[in-house]
Amino acid sequence: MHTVNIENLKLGMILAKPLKNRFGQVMLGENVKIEEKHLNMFKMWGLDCFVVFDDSDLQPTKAEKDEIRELAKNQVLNHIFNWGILSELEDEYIEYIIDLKASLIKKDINNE
Amino acid sequence: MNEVNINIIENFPTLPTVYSAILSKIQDNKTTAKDISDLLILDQASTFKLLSLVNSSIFSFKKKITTISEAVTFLGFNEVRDTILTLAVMNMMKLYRTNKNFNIIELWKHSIFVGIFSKIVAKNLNLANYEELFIAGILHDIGKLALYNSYQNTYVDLIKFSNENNSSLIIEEKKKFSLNHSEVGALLAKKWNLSKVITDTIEYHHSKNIEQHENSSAIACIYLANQSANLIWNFNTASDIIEKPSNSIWEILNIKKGFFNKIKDEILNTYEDSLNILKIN
Repeated sequence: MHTVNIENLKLGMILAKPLKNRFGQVMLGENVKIEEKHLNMFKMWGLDCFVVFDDSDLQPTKAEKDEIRELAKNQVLNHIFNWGILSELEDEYIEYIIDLKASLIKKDINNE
Repeated sequence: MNEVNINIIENFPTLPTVYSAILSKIQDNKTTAKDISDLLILDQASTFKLLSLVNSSIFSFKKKITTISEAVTFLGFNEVRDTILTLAVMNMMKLYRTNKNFNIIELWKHSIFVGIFSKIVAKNLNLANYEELFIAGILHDIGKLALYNSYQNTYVDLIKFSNENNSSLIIEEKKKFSLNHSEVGALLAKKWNLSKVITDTIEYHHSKNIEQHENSSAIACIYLANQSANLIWNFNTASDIIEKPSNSIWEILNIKKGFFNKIKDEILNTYEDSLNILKIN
């Protein structure tokens, strides 16, 4: 996460810490995604310092990615245990299906 | 076709008036793009959806299409007709309550995935008519909807039965209703005057010997897309084991090493886009 001032604040950024005015009152909670209406409010309130998440905070870690792929792999392999030995092409196809499934699982997680 | 079979088709909800009007207009040789446009403009929601669809990554036009007339010019009457039909079917899916063993949302997602996958595979294999395969993919399981519409809980129980006993759904359907969902789907496609390619893919997407059929490449695409969807999600399918594509599938499509790595991102992105445009909830 990092700190930005009002000029560098962009739509879609997500607050990493709650936004407080100079009296310490919480104006907006953490994890709120910045929308158009917020920008106008911030200007009105005279707020200029925002702690937001970086992209890297929001992506799954490598360990999480591996875990997701492992889950996808096990589920797919469950469906094909009577397929016997796979040809090179069939192997490529199955790896591709596993990748596709893992990506879809990740997208679902991000959309929740 | 016996009486029972005719009822399944006749009982299927009719398409909304504007769609049937367009479908019949298109059969008239004198119809112009403007005629279609004038009809469709009456239905703002559909106009909007059609244009969103046409401008999405599902169709790969470089130029932005802003009017129905333009859409008709670029796609052709048949493509517009088929797309409108697809939107009507998506709308129809809203009518069905979700039942634990017949989840309409999952059927919708599955159908869209099969449509996208088929189209992208066909396009990358340089098959003609790949746009038609998008429609064919979306409609391939329409027979299930028709059977559910006619038989409700009986059909739901049948699906549950075939899941629990690891038996083939199409065999159980044939035993109980004398038609399986592929055959019912094909009958509906013929009723709607869809092309032979679309009708054949719906009819034969579970077929054992695809290579013997006239539109074998198209059928093989839908078959592969269907199996792929079942490998990724397992709902409404008869068993946990997914049938292995026979060697003839790879041969008919002439798929070589490296093919799948090439198309992965395209499928993912197009699938995401289409879920947004073809929403049913």
